Amino acid sequence: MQVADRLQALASAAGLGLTEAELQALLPAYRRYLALVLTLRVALDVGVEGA
Amino acid sequence: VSADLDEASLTEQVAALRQRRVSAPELLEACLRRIESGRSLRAFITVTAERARRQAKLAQRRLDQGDQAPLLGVPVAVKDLFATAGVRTTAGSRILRDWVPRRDAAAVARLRQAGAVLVGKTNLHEFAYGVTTSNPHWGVARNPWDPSRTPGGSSGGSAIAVVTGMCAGALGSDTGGSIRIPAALTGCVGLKPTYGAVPLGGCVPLAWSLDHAGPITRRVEDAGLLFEVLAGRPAPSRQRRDGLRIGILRGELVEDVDPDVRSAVDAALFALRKDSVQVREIRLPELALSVAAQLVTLRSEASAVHHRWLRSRKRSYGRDVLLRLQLGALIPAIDYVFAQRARDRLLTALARCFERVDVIALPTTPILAPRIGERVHRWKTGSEPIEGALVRLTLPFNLTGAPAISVPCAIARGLPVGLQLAGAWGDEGSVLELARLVEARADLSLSK
Repeated sequence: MQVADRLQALASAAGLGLTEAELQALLPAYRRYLALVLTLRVALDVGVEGA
Repeated sequence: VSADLDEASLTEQVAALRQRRVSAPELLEACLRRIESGRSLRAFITVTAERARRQAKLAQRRLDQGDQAPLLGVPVAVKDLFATAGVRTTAGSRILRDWVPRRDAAAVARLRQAGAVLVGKTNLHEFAYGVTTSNPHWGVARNPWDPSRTPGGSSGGSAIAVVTGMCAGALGSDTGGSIRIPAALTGCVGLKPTYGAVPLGGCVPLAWSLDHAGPITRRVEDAGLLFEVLAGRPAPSRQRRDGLRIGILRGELVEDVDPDVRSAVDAALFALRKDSVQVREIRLPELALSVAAQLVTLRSEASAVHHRWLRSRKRSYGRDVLLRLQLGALIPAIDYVFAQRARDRLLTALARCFERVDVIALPTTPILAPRIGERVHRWKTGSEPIEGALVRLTLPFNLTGAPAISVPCAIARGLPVGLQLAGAWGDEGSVLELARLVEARADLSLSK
């Protein structure tokens, strides 16, 4: 799934009712968020065995 | 009022009032004149001149009777995020533009109880959710050092008011740096106390686990006095056999710093060696995750605070704040949990660090005050959003709740530089003690 489609699905599930223009405006910030949060997941997601 | 007195420190104003060198109404009128002449800086959302005049008269009567309340007759301003009984409290928003609370916020009540005269409610980034105070509803706040530049935020109005003598001290809030950043960019002192030290009842929340309240002042001793009033306890330094031990933070988080800011901060710290302060370098690798942990925590909690209005009052938000709130509403719980785990690691590492040093020192912001509307700062290593750069060095102490202060240490390229000092939980005393030494060594003339 493309990032834009994923964002649209998430926004819809959250009941935000975003317009297409709002989705496009949110996309760069959402991409930055995904890149940043990846560092958290990589550093901390050690799985049950490593907890 | 002599020109000196309305520019004097809050502590000096208290003394002048008690010694009858100035009256509370005279001091207030001097502040009101400065508010009027500095209107273009957009420091205030609401000026409570008539109420303040009544308060000043009452304060003068109490002073005449020998009342020694700690702030009696001193003009102070309050960030418009804190509820004030009978006075509009907007949180810098359109949504709350007509809200008139019935009760004071707890911190405001403590200021009033101490005898302070409330001159007005200061401008802020909408709902305190941003660090430029470019407010689309109440005006773009401007830096007194260069009106084409931002004063920082979110407590930008409070910092402007303090620096320009519109009040002697002000109340601010800090969720990612909102007291320390404007203090650094405008050349005043901003103290973010230990998490929970100053009560937040009646303060419009931004992110419950990161929000702090604290003072913005011209001098360090004023920050100490206001802290004691706001926290309801003194701020003694930790007992120690030898001198204060400072750890200068090095490593990834502080790699991208304007060379003028870096050299100003290093010079200020080097000068402290003359005061028998032990200075060493420290590294905290756990800080590498702090930006991500803060972003996830802040975005998630702020969107929880705003979840109803986000759906029912969407068009009432400014563009930048709406975007942040929408993003926060999409963050999965898993990421929030990871962020709290990262936060826990940072807390443990910081606690260990405070066994070796009393205070950690680093720049408050890696850049000087940026121009209003500037969006990106370019480093040799790449570019960084301005808002991200401004909070990068302050946010670790919101995540951990450790007390931190910004104190002016130099002027670089015509703009103030803030040095940040962070201490162990509950040890505002060491932070203030060291900030006093920095202030004395720097000896800057910072009145605007």
